[in-house]
Formats: sequence, structure tokens, C-alpha cells
Amino acid sequence: MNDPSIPTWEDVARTHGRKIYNYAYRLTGNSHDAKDLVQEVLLRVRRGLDSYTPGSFDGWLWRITRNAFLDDVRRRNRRPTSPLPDDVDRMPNASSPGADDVLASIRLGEDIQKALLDLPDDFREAIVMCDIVGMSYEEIAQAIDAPIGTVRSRIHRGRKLLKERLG
Amino acid sequence: MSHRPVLLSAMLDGEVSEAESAWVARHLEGCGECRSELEDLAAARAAIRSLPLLDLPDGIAPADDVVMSLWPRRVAVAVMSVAAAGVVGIGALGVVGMASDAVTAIDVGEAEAILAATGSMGVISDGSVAAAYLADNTTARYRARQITACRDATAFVDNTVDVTRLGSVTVMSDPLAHWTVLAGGSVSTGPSQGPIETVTVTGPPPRVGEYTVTGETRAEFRGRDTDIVTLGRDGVDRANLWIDVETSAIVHRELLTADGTVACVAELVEFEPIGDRIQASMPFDTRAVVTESVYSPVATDLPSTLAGLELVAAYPIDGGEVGVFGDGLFAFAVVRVEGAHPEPGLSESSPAVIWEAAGYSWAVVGQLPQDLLERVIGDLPPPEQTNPFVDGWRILFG
Repeated sequence: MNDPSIPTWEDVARTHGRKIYNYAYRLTGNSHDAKDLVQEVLLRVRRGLDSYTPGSFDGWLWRITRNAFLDDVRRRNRRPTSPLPDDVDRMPNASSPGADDVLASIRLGEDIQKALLDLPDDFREAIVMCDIVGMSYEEIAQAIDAPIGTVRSRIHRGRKLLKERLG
Repeated sequence: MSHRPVLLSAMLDGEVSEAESAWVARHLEGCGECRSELEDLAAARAAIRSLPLLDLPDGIAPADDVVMSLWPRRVAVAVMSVAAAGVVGIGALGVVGMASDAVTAIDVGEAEAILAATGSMGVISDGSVAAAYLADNTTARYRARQITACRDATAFVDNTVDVTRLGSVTVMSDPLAHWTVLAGGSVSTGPSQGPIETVTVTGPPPRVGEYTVTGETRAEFRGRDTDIVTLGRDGVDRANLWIDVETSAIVHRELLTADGTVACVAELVEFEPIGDRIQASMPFDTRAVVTESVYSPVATDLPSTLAGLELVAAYPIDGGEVGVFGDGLFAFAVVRVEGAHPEPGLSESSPAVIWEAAGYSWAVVGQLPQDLLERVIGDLPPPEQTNPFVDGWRILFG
């Protein structure tokens, strides 16, 4: 049980929660789905930690994350629902210091986010893992269960398409 | 000279071998097309990397004040005190090292599912969404999310809650909730309470114990005005409920052990209407949550009460049955399956205690504070195996 090389569920939530959220947000483009995904991943991690054998923890975590995301996509495809709009109340408090900067950066990122969402799923996933999460090609290859050559190709082609769309 | 554009992107990421890097460098010297493409790729890469790293929203990460691993701490304390006395108690079981995959003959997950489906508490609990809204002649749907932490189990729960006005009572059908009746500013319970009798309950009505309000104060909770209501029974405080003044939603709930420590925490982290918002036009004086069961109850010879909690219903499972006990605040399931269980003990992966007795494997599953858990298993047939768990059991229960 108390193998120090196996993080606790709380450790995972604290150290990886933000990355998973950013991954999910950039893939889905909305915070609701992203929050749902983080919660689902954390639940799966908690269930799975007992049977986790020490190895590449990150690889294991990102496989779980990716599977949770794909399951969610499949579920949504079966039962289409329109995502609830992000509540303006959840935006950063306009009176807090730096709030304008935060809002500006969010708006500036909108066109990039939109271009990202327009990419084919495989390309978007590889780019988010590489440039948002900061995973190496080898880690991405493990997570998506594909050869490194495929990772290289997807990132490359994704970036080319992005550049075309961003002008 | 052939182009190898894929290498350009990989080079930006430092994901090329030395030989590839040298090849690219040589190639770029003589190829304007690839130099231009490299610039484009670098621009796209920089654009994505310029996106702000977003903070994890509140209510997802286990903030220390929401997710409490109270049971492991209590177990540790119990082990120390019991070890000092030279005995091994129930509290020590988690540390004795029972395999976490001990739950094989008894499907604890199924028991939890039944607890959830019957509106009681499994790993997941409820009560939080119980008093959410009182609708006026309206049917509406809400999406609720709550976080529950109990013993070493923490769960996020998404519920879709149907709210339908029936007569003077609002019925909220929620597969994870049990019903509670709150009347006249105080909290009282019971199936005979006022207009609850007008409600047709699909599935077994969970019992609600005779709790009384022992304290009530107004306080702010996460920016909301709330009434903190303390419920007690037999002179012992058992729960603190933070009831939102505007909506009457139970936004935060603590279940207490007999010594007043917090055993389980549940908190509503989101509650929002799906579709049209309904207007509350009545005082929030009576409300109820009922549940539709997906199981058909069966007759059982399980005890009708355990630790003062009534048997709500029993359901068949593979090779045995599950009895669900509850009193509106606490709930648990007793699983009884024919045959021996390979590894009895306290399951660490799930809140269950498993043992063999009288030709059956038994499990107690649920969110019980330690004092109630000990009373529950003390009222059930004692185990027959020889292991530290059984030794501890005999010392505690004779």
C-alpha cells in the first residue's frame, strides 16, 4: 500500500489536476467539460491506484486522462447535449488586481483556441499534449499508444494547419 | 535534395537525434522553402504556448477544507491507543494490511450501487441535494454536483435532479438522494410528517430517524447566508447542516461521530437549473426527496434494525442479498452472500468490513462513523476465522 513511489490520490489531484484541466480545456474549449473531465480522471485514478504497479506514472495517468476524454466524446456523440454556457459569475472578479490583464489574455487567446478547436482531433490532441501539457514525444506516444513517428507527424501537420488558420 | 518537413517541427521541440539535427541544419542552408516553413511552424508553436495556463477552478481539486481524510487519521489514533493496551481493535485493521483486492466473493461495488440507487449512502452520499428548491407548479431539472469525503473515500457526484410539484410538496427525484422533510424552520423527520403522505414513492421510502434540532445559528458560508442546524439524537449531536437561506439547499453537511469529530463531509459545489429557472413562490417549509429504485425489494431475515438504523429494504444480488439500513443521515448496506470469503478484513479500497459467519460471507458497506460501525458489526454474527481481524473483533465484541 504505502509504496513511496506511488503517489496518493490527493497528490495526483494537487500536482496534476491543473495540467489535466488545461489539457481538457484546450481540447474541449469550455470549462464545464474540462471540469467534468478532471473529476472523472481523478475518480479513475483513485479507483486505479490500488492496482497501479510502479512504472511510468505519468504515462499511466495520461492514458487514463485520454481514455476518459475519449469516453466522454463517445458518450456525447451518443447523447448529444449542448454544453451549459460558462457562467459570467465564474469569470475572475473584475475588481481584483490584475483582473483586466487576465481577461485580456483570455480574449487574446480566443482566436488561437478557436483555431485549435478547428484542428482534426488527432492533431489537436498531440499539440495540446506537447505544447500545453509539456509532454515529450515519447510520453505522448505512450499515452496515445502510437509510434513516435506518428506523434511527430501529427504535431507537424497540426502546426501547419494552425499557422494557415491563424494567418 | 529531398525535404523532410516533419523533422522541422520535431527540431523545434528538441525531439531529433544529433544526426537528424545536423541534416536539418545542412538542408536549411540551401532551402528557402524549408526556412520559411520552419518560421511558420515556430509561429504556430509559439501561439499555442502563449495561451495562459488556467487555474484549476474551485471545487475540483481536493481543497484541504473540503476533502478530509478523517478516517485514516482516526485509524492511526486507534491503532496507537489499542496497541498500547495490548489488543488489536477494529481500528487497527486498516493497518494490519488486508489486501485491498479482498473484495471478491462480495461485490462491494454492487452494494454501493444499490445504496446509491435506493437513495441512501454508499461511497457516495447525499442529502445535499435534498432540500434544493421548492418549485411552484413547475417541473424543472437541475444539475447538481457535490463532493463527499468519508473515511478514505472521496467522491464527486453529478446528479441530475428532477423537481416536480405534487400537491403542496416538492418531489425531487434523485437517484443518489434520500428524502428528508424539513418543516417550519426546524428539522423534523418521518414518513408521517405532514404532506409527505401525499407523495407516491416509487421504490422503498428510506426511513428517517428521530433527530432533533439541538442548535441553530446564522453564519456566512462561502459568501452565502446560511443557517447552521445541528441535529442530535439520544443526547448526541450527529450532524451539522449548512442550509442556504435563499434556496434552502443544504450546501454543506458534516456527519459526526459520537465524540463530535467530523466523520463525513459532503458539500454542494454546484447547483444550477437546466432549462427554465423556476421561481420559488412559497416559503421553504416542507420538502422531500424521493427516489426511484432500479431494484425490486425482497423479503429478508436480516435484522430489522442495526445500531438504531432501520432496515429500509433488501435486494437480491448474485448468491445473496443486500440489506439497506438508514435513518436519513446515516446509511449503510449489509451484504450477505453464501459461502466463504477468501480474505476477510477491512477493505482499504472501499469502505467495507468483510467477514465469514454462519455459512455466509458478510460485508458492511457505507459511510459510517467508527462508533456506529462498531455497533453495527457488533450486532451481526461474529466471524469464525482466525486472523487479527477476528481477534480484534472478539476483544471488542466478545
